[in-house]
Amino acid sequence: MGLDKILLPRFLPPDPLFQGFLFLPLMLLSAALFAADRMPPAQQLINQMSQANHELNYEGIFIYRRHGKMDTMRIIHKVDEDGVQERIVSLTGFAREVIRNKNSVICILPDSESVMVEKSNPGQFKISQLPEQIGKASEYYNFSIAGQDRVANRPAWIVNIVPKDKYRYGYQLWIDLETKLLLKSELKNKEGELIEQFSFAKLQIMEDIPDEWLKPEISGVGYTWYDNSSDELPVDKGDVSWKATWMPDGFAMSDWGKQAVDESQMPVEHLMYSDGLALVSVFVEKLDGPVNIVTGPSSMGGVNTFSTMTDSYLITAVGEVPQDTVKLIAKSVVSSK
Amino acid sequence: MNEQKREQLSALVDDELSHETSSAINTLLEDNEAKETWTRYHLIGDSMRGHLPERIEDIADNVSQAIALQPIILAPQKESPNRKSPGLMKPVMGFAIAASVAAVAIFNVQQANQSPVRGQQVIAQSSIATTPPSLALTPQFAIQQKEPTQAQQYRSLDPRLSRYMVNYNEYRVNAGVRSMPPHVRLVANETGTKK
Repeated sequence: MGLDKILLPRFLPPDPLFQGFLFLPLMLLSAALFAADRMPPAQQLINQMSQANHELNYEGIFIYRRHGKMDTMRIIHKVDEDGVQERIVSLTGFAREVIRNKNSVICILPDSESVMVEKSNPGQFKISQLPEQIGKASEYYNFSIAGQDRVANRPAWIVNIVPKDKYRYGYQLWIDLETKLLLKSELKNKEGELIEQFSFAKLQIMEDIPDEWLKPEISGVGYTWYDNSSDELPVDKGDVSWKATWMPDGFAMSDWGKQAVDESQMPVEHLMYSDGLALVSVFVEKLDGPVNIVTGPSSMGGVNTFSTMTDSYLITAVGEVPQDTVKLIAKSVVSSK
Repeated sequence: MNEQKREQLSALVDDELSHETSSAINTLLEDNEAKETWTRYHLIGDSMRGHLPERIEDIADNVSQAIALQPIILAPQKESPNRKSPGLMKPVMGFAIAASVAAVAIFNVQQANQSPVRGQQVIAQSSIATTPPSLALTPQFAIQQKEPTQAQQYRSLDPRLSRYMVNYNEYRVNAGVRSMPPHVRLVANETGTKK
């Protein structure tokens, strides 16, 4: 009964039946509800975050830092019956732009006076698959909520995702309390050291986004156009002729495809492997004749790549995982035929 | 330390680093007092811009170590065929992160030596990478990033790798947990400083 004395205010009637059977459970229930409101499970927040991005219109300015460099960018994000349309423009250095919609991704690169057009991912966002993916990932990462913070003048939950082995990166996500949008993120290695950072400085949730905001500032006239937006070839899993023989535990092939590109005669094979959280792509492309290809490691922010030649095939692993991981994966790729 | 030196230091801190200034840094940093002033000026500048790192290291030491390790400092700067204007060679503008001066100096030295790959230079660059500046990266990671520098200079222009990146990003949209909007890394001026 010591517990009752601690939990219940002294002015309540000292009737043990009244206290024990009515008030105490009620209080515990409300305490539990309050706790759930204050500290949602990390996995649930991540699911809500993915969903929010497919439901809300917003416009904002964010910074992107990696390897001692920083860029500022503007993002315009519109959701309508055609799905998500998004435009990102660099406000520092070259005014590079990427505009994506349900059909294509257009990359305008004023530094090389070129425009690259690729097909956007035809796969539909399936919210139902997410809990399954995250559930799988919890075998290889520890999920937790580290508390609250404030980003772009908005209160946010901090979610920590720490890898259990050295083959993956960890994430720290700042998720908006109100809208569940991602406000800030940090990619970290196993030791917790920062690899790259994304953070909104200003974010505006909007009822509607004017279409003009999604139009490029640069016309692209006089630029060199590289159009690779040809349709993906229909492909069965049986047609996949390459496979990675090594993957970190938990990575399984999640998707595959072949794409015809004008630069090469043979279609490029694209294999995708996921552990539920991170994604590694393996591209296999046949190169004809002498081609000046530099193989080995490379990186773009937190994405590492490793290329290697096998006979006349260029094998490239690309992923938001440590350099060693993409290297081991790329070197393990063999023909499965 | 005389007024002229102090002014030179101030100018160095305020202006961009060009390859000619490498020798100026070298001369100035022989003087211990100048070294301290150099560090102090950077701290002042960085604190004014709110860019102080979590850990403040000895910038001047890092710069002189980096320069000492570099065999060729005043090699003529190779004009990249893709350069549109001299304005493109202003990586310092993008380096808003604190105390990245050492990194900037290394970058410039590397750019000054963009002649065809020679074994000696590759080794020299690797050893530079082992003196990490203020970046929060492990030496191991820094080496991994610095080793492919020559390759990256070519590959950053490689449309094949850009195409892979776009396709990877597109599938990343709906797979697993994304840590930022797709294509941010492509919009980032990664190649602008590596040409």
